[in-house]
Amino acid sequence: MFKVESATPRKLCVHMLASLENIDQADSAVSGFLIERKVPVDRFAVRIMLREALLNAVTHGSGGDSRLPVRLDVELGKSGVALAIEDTGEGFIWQDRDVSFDVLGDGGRGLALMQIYSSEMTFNESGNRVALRRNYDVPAVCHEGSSGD
Amino acid sequence: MLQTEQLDEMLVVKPDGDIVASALESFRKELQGLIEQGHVNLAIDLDGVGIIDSKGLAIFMLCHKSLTAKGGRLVVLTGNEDFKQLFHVMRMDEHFTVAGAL
Repeated sequence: MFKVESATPRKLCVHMLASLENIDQADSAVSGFLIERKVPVDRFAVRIMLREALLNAVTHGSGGDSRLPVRLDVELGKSGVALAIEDTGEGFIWQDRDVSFDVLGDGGRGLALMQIYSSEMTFNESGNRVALRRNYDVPAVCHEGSSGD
Repeated sequence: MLQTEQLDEMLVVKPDGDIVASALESFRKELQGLIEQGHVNLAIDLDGVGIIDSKGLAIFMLCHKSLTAKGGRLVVLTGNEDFKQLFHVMRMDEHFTVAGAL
C-alpha cells in the first residue's frame, strides 16, 4: 500500500507500508512535488534526508515488517522544506543518539547523513517520529567532520 | 546485469539505476562475482545513477575492503558534484579515489 492522502499547494501526506520499494515511491513523489512547485531547495539533500529517515522507519522502527504503516508529511514552510516521518515502533533513546560513524564500517551512516544534510533534526519524546528541515537556498553541505573510526 | 568495460588494468562497471536498499542485493552479488572472477581493480561509473543511500555507501566500502585485501583498488567515477560531496562528507574519499575520469 502506498497512498498520497493529500497534496495541497504546500503539503504532501503519504501513508505507506514499511517496505523498501515504498521508499523509492516516496522519493519519487516528494521529488515530483518539489519540482512541480519549483521549490528553491537542494533536492539532493532532501532526497538523502528523506531516504535515510524512511530507511530507519522501515528497517528499525517497523523491524522490516512490511505490514506496518509509516506516515510521511512534507510541508513547504517559510524557511524551508519540512519532513516528518513516523512509524509505529517503540522509538529509540534519541537523547543518546550518536551521529559519529565508522568510515570503514558496514553500517551506521544513516543518522549522520540526516544530521549533515538537514538544517535541523528533532525527535518526538519516544523517538518514533523524526522531523527534518532543509532550509531554502542553503549551499551544498560542508564537510562537518564526524568522527568515530 | 552490470555493464562492464576493460580499460587498461581497470574494469569499469556501470550500474544502471539507483544504488539504494531496494536494489542492493543484485548489485552486491554482481560486484562480488567480478571480484571472485579475479578482477581486483574496479572503477564504478556513476553516470547512470541518480541517488545512493547509506546502504549503498556500505557496499562501496565493502568493495573497497575486498579489493585492497587482494592487492587491488576501487575508483569511483563521477562528474556529479552531489556525489563527490556525498563521498567527501562521509570521508570515503580518504580511502578510495573519487574522480571525474580515469
